[in-house]
Amino acid sequence: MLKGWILSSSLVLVWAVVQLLLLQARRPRSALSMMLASFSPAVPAYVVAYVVTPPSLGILPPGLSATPPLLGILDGALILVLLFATCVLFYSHFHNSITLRLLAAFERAPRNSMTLPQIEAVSGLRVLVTERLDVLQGTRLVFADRGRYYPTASGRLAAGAGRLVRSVMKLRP
Amino acid sequence: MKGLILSAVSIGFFVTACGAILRLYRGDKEYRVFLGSFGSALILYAVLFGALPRDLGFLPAAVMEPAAVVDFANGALALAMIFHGLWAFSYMVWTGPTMRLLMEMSRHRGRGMSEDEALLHFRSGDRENTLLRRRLPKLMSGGYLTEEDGVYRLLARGRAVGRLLIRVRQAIGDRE
Repeated sequence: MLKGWILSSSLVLVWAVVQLLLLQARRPRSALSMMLASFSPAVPAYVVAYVVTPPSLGILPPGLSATPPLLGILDGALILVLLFATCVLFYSHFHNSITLRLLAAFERAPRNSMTLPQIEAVSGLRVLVTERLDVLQGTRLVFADRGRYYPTASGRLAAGAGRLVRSVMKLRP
Repeated sequence: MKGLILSAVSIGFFVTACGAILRLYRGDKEYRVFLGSFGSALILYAVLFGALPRDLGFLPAAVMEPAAVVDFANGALALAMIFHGLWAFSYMVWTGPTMRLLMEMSRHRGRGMSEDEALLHFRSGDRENTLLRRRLPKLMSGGYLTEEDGVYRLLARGRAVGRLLIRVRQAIGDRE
């Protein structure tokens, strides 16, 4: 399993660096789509790397490199996907969180102070809703038609997952 | 494989425990329920891992990790990452405007939703912004922000976090 960990975490590290450079260089409408596109080669790359490299990777002691190949390759693939999902969620926390955005806006404001109308100007409803509708369109979860927004099939699926979580966790809006 | 199977069992425990406690919980620090349930799931995982045999009574040799410590750490790592995913998704569904908009649109999918209707979804009363109404008091009770005569001011703790956030947001390509 350690071989799978090393390969998958190395690939995610390389992907994260490339992704940060891409995010600096471009301003994608949907960062999630960009991340999925840039990550997709990592899965076949991991499988190839696992197959062509020795069980010890030249560094692991015999006791830690005796994992059955099928288990090692599948476990490493699972870790690869989980690490990717964790990175995407961290991006989402920092990019989308209204609370974090508010703190950053206060830090930039003169004397670190703002009145409610000034807060509304940087994190007001109109700004946020317009931005979120744009994100939903960019990720193809909704589409716009004559000024109205409708969920796509994948949007309905995501909304269903959301309703399931809300009903299991009983989170009151 | 033993670690992964036991982490799946522990995730099942986490979801059940968290869902049950949140039904009874009346406070406003739900994150403590999530973290407490995760801590209990982690303890359950460690106890089960120590108590059960290496093959769990049914695993073939082809799917067994020979090093027990690696198997244990692997399952714990998977458990932590799945917990983080569930926690983040729960908060997106609960407080995040994007998921709330999507769920509302999905409820009236034939009719759709205009931007003005979306705005109404986050207003209560005349013009009150429910997104800010929820967050500003939390920032004040957390010691990040204070309010005096209608002016909100960042405290030392908030400034430290704000400075860090600006750097992180610049690193991920946010241009503000």
